Amino acid sequence: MFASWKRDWRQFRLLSRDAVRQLLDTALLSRDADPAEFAIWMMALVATPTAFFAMQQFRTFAGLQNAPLEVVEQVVLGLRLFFVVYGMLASALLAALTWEALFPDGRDQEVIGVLPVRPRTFAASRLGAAVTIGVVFAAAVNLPAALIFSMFHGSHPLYSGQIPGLFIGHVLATMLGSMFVFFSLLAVRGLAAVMFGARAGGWLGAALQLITVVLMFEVFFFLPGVLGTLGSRILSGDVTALWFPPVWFAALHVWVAGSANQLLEDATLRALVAVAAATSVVVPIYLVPAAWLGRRALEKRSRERAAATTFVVRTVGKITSARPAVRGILLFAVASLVRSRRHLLVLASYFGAAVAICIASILVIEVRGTFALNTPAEWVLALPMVFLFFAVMGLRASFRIPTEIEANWPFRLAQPSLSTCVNASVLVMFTLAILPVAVITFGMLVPRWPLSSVLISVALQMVAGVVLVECVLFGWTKVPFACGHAPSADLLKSWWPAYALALYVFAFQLSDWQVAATTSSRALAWYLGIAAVLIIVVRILRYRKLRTQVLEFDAVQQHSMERLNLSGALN
Amino acid sequence: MLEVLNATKSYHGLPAVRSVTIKAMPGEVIGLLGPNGSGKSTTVKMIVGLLTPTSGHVHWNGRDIHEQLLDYQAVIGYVPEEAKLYTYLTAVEYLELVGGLRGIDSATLRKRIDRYLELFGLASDLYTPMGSFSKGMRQKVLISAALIHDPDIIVLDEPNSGLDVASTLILRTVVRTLAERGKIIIYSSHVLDIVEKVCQRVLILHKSRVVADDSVTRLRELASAASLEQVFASLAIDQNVEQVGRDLADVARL
Repeated sequence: MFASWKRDWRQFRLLSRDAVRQLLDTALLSRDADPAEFAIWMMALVATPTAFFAMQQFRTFAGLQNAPLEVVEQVVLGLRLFFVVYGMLASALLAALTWEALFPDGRDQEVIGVLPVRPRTFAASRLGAAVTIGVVFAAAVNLPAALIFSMFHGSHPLYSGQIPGLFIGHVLATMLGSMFVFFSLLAVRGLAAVMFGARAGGWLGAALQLITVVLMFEVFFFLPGVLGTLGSRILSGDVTALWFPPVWFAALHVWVAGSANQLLEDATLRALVAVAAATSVVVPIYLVPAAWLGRRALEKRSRERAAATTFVVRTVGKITSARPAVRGILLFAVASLVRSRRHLLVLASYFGAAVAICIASILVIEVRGTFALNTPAEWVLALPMVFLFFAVMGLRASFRIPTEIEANWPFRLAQPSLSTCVNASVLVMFTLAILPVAVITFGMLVPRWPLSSVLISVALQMVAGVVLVECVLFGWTKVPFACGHAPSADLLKSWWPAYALALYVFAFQLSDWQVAATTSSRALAWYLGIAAVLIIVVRILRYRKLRTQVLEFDAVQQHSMERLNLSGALN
Repeated sequence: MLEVLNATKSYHGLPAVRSVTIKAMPGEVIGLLGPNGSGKSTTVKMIVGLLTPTSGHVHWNGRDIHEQLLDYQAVIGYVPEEAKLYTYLTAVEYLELVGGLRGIDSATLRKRIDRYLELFGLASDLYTPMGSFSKGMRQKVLISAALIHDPDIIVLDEPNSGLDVASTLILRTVVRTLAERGKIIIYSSHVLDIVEKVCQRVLILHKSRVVADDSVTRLRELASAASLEQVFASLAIDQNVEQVGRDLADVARL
């Protein structure tokens, strides 16, 4: 018995080490990117907003120096709730990115299934690796903010000398809150996969990613205000606040830091029970059916039928272009996109950002009391423009991510011309971004606005979409989804302010102009004239540029040491 | 002794293999032949314990392998049909993982890994993830992983896939040598020439059933054929290959 346990433990450790890499590999958008670099960037990206938010609280506490205890407690409770909610959302995002690799697939079965390893040992190693990643991630997201916030919090006269308690309370509350969400989502995913199959789990993952992105945006738009109100309700003894899980963990923070509020003490108990329950549920969900899931992974024969997708793709190909090469690339791109989970997840993130900004816009309009759908209004036209912007940008980003790096040899051999690739890319964006947004906008506005206004608005929106597509594909020298390398994140890192400005101009400034164009023929002429000039100029510039460029598959080496060509100089 | 007794495997009610029976004694090399979709890989997966037969059994030393799966898998080595492995690992890391899971102590494992990589000409790629390996290089790693624990049963599913001529010849010698040492070897392949030279007995699968099970010499006699290829053609090929070949060549003229 002891020898068996010893062997299982040894195997568990070996497999856990490998499983961490496997989970990071799954979370990556491109298979040849470096998992360690990805993990560091991801943690830095997600941890930065909370750290900045914590730093901003310096002013809050400075303003509260002479405030009475009740006021300070209310403000602080709102802030604690914010940190807990943010940590929970970050963990939800991580769960959505990694949970696909928790269940064994055919490769795992062929590699590990033939070895003398118990299926439960293997499942436990994957779960253990997920927990490790979850804890490290939660710590990276929450610890810097905990340190900064506790320092400012403890510097207030009412909390002098309590910095260690405040810090420990913050860490415990945010970490346990994050782990509660992480475990709960893994449990839900596990149940979905066991009961409805892997495909349902995949869809659930995409939906969760979308919701998480939306909520992470909304956190910064609205949560500080909403949570302040919630805090005051808790302090006034409103028990309905206890239905909100972040309250349980914020209460834990308060309890550790020292509080005499009975309601929060009750909520603290709920936090501990919730974490224990989530942990005790997730373990059997993954370990009990491990052997059955392993067999299913190997035995499942592809029952996927792609008839609907194929029909859409072929129809699009027939109606959009007669040139065989363009049609071929178009069909390949559309089919790749709709059948690749990685690419759909990228688009889900962009779509989530669009949804978040639209929700924020609608709520602002509602608060101002100017919400009305019956007359042409800038804010109404701005909504589809936001979706259009993110759809085009999302497609542009996903084009750079290869589906199967080693499978791009047909393109390498055929070497389609650059203009063919660009035209096909334009068509893909038109088919998957401009056209659907236009159809939906038309459908939404027709019952409410005069038909002429709807037609003009939709036409102008499509024209703006074409200009955007022409601009974002300027300098595009690749076949969509057929790159021979992973995309670099450098562009996003350095260009995000330009993207924000472009969104503002494209969605919110152009919508003003569109409204003017529905009533003024002069504005309409200017709009169309400038759009036409822009399209022509971009096309001419691109045509001139393409003459000196070649189709690219491999990464362009940009290492400064290589550019210096020292070895050449020595020779 | 390894026995596959009347094993049938169905997927969603559709039989992939029907009533396959194989008996393999130590020192025997058994070839598995058959056209695409005939059930070779399903049979192989049942033999290694990855799949459970829908009906029938696989026995090792008189007991069902699923009653002693961990013990059975400890004595089996398997090269899968496709070079499925964790491509983000280096060859050394992968072999350390497999060897570690099989309980080989670190010092012995390291010695064996170094020797395998040296003999297979992979010593210069110690720090290269297998994602950038060629198919043949990955196949060499899989063969090393299958042999690293000195198994009693070795199941090779298309082991020559991607291997160069020298490596194929080396593998042939490896199979013969291991058979002489009393190992049971199941050799599934499409390369009839190699099967003819390496295997003492051949099973031909066609449309999910065993249509022949005998020595190569006896099969040739029974079919009055000069080679295993002719035996295979008479038993497992329904098409007029010459005609189909000519038709295929003409398709591009349509």
